[in-house]
Amino acid sequence: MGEMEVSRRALLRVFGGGAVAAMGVAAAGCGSDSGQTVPANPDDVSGKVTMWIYPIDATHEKDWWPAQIEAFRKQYTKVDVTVTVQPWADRDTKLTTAIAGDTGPDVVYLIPDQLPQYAQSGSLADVSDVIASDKSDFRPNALDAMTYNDTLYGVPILMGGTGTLINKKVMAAAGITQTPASWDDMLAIAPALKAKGYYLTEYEADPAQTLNLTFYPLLWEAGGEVLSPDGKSAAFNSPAGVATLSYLKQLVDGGYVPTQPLTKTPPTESDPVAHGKVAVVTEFGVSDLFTMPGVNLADWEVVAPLKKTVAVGYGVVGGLSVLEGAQNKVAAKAWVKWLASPDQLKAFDKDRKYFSPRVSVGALFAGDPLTGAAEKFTDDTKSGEINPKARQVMDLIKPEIQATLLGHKSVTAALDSAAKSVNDLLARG
Amino acid sequence: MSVRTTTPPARPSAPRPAPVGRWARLRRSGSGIALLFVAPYLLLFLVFRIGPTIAGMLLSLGQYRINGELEWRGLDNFQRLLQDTLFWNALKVTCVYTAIAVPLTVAVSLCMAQLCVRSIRGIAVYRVLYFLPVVTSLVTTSVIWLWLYSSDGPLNWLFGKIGVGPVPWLSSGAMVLPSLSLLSVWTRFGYDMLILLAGLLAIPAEYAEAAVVDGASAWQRFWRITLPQLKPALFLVVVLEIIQSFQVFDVIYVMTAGGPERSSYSLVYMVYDEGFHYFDFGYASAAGVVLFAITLVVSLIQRWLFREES
Amino acid sequence: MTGASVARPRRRRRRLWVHAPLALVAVVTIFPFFVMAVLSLQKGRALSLPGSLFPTHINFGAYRDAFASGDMPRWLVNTAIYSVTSVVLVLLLASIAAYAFAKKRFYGRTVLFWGCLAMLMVPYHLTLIPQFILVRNLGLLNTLPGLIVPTLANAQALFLMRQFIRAIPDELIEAARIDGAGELRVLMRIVLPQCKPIIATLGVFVFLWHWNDFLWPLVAMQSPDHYTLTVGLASLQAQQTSLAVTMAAAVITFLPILVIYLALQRYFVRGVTMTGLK
Repeated sequence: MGEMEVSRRALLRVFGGGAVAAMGVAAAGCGSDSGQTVPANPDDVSGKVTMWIYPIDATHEKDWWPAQIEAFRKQYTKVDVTVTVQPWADRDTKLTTAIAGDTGPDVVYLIPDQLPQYAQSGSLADVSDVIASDKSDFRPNALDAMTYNDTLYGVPILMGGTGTLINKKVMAAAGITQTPASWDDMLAIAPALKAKGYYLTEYEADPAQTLNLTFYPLLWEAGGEVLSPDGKSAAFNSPAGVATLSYLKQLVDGGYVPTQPLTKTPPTESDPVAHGKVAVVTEFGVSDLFTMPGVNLADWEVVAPLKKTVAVGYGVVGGLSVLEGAQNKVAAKAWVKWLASPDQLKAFDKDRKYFSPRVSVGALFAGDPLTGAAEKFTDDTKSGEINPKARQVMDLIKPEIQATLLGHKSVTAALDSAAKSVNDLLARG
Repeated sequence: MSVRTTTPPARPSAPRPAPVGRWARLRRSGSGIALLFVAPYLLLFLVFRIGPTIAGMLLSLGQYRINGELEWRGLDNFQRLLQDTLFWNALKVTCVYTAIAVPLTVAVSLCMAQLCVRSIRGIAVYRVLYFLPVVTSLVTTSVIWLWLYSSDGPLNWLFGKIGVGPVPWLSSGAMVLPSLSLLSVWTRFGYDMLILLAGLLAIPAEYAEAAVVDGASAWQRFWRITLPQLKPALFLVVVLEIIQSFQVFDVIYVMTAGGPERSSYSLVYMVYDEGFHYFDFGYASAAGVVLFAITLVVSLIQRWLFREES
Repeated sequence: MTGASVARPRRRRRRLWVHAPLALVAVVTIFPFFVMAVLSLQKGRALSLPGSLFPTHINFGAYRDAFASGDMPRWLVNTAIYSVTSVVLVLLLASIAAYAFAKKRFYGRTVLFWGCLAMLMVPYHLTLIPQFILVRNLGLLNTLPGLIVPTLANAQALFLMRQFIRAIPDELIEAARIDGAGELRVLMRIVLPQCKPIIATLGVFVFLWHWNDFLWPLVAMQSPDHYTLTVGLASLQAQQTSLAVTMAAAVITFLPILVIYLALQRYFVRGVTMTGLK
């Protein structure tokens, strides 16, 4: 990076003046140095670790950590750990600002939507050595989600799954006995549901909603991909893409989906799903159902992801990344390694109703009719496009899909125009 | 520190020896003391506002990464802006929003100020109530209005009762900016009204009385007396409103995320998106610089339009 | 107010004509607050109309979650310190500077003033990172001064103050000066008392801006001990949070403001309307 880097921390110098020198920042930021792996003996590790986590388990997140830190310090007596629970709101703004000011945490919770951008900007450290000894225990789709440019930048600690959620009560009310497994099944039962005043499903085209939960899973189900394998050109305008958008258009035109979510996702309290108006839900996971007010869980069942050609759903992966600017990478990695151990994950994931990225942890929710059923499909999930431009790509596609569903553009015109702007974006490098 | 000597109250004004030298000259003209008065403010302003602003704007000439790398690229970012349909759309959205929100807010504020200027029973209560929305955070306001505006929310429920709608408040490209403008009226009229009210009360009552004697109608009195007298207050309100509208962000961030189909994707939203969402800080900065330039030009034009004849 | 008792029919109709729009606007103004309060009390219930607006069941669950955190009092104190200190200092700095800008002639006055105002036109996100780095370089990160100082030079306050001070007749100031009053005395004895209404109004605004502020406290304060109320409440919320929880947080943030506002309102609302601005 030598030449292109006109001056490291140029911004600081531009206006921070002499203070930059006082900072004493080592400019050796490029490339991860070797010799930073976690040694076998915990006593060889010492230092301070700060971790930022978010309220995954809403109000109780903060109370979870003191006991974990204590347990960790029984092994690693020379390491100090501080965990702070940060708000979800504006988390990228806070994290970017902190990294830019060299005051970021040592370890941070990231999801695949964020990871590639931080990795590309050189802010994350390679953590493949943390799981090197038992890599095979991690589910491949979990590792893929944390891998950018063939380098692992995060250790997965949780996975979410979206099976297909079915409201049995609604199905029964419309006299439908067979559970849909494919798009054709869906279209076949739609008129009967509509006749009784129900919606077949719900599709959120709100620009605030990620396509990872909406359009992409359908595209994957149709056998399509968002980008070409090299990540350099659009692939969603393939026949699979056309089929996906046409299917959605059919749902909208047929009146099989509520119209409000096409522009703005309603608050959960007034979501048609909460009101028992929707038969099949693919857009969110079981855990969302638990927190949705007014939902009677006994009415629901979870079945395999729908398919056109492939049965696949979206599943979030949450991981812990070590920042390149971490004061003490060895200590940070030791903490991450400890957290990602099977015993820890078992407790952590079970408590938060997420699934384990480790196979050896086994089924956490075997007895649970809904979560347990969804857990079975953990391997059938994908977590989105791992590309530093993924967000921009998404934001270019979103308005085009919305335009099609609102009847302002044809399916092919929308996909072609989206593909053109995505290709322009990717070509810019 | 010579200022301090003047602080003790009620000291009889003893004749002082005539001061001499440069300091004295400055002191006599009041210029030195004036500089002393503005110095603390300006110093803080320079360090904490202008400094970061210049630093932020310099980024527009390069590509900046959050790990500190900065690669100078001249005017590349600006060239890219000119060819970016997103940018032109954002510019259009910002201007349309301003064109709707500002006149609407000012008009409502002026009407309400006119109504509130009367001293009738209970007027104090009204004034207190009108000010409540100003007191709330924009984020809270946005969340509440999101529900009010939703397709089966209270507004459409009410409209349904009288056989109208459902109105696609936020879900149609044509309606979204007017809907957001309405929200802006709700949140801001209390503030503007108060400034205008103060201006109205400052107009000597004799003017209006004289006009009544001359047989001027209420409308004529408003145009000929009230409005010209209100010019300074009105100027204040219009300048602040325009700046506010050009900077519209929170409401869009919470309510529409720029949609539907980018019909509420404002320039500030673009600055945020390009920066903290896409990590393209140089490009975000370029968009910000353009927005700044436009706002500045518009404000200068306003200043010229409202210039005081003196 | 004496006129009100002289109730001739025509007068009454006239009053109705004035009251009707005033009352209508008042209802429109308050309705969203009503919604906020009502929704915050219905955790775990699906919304339906008109039932949700007139709930029969009340559930304090959303509040219980917020108050379950022991950090709440500390967040309140932090927010109070942040807001109160800022109000005092912002007003002090702005009024002194505004007086000079309004009534004094000095080299560069116009340029400086409009330069300050122009900074209002810079998108906030543009300056966030440089400002953060600056505060860090000054060693003020995670401290109250680091939170407060960057917000003190408030252009909007300067602008409003200057506009109002300009309206004070020069003769008043000249008269004081002939009596031998020094500049500071003129400012304290003549100018500021004239500005009471605008100072009260501005004071409430500045307080609110800081009390409701989210982004800067979020970025500048890194540990939970230092969170302000808005940031702290957000750190208790799940990613997809329910309307009831959001509304409860809004109510908790809003209530102290409401109390202060109601306590102070007579100062500025009446202040403005009684004295007018001459």
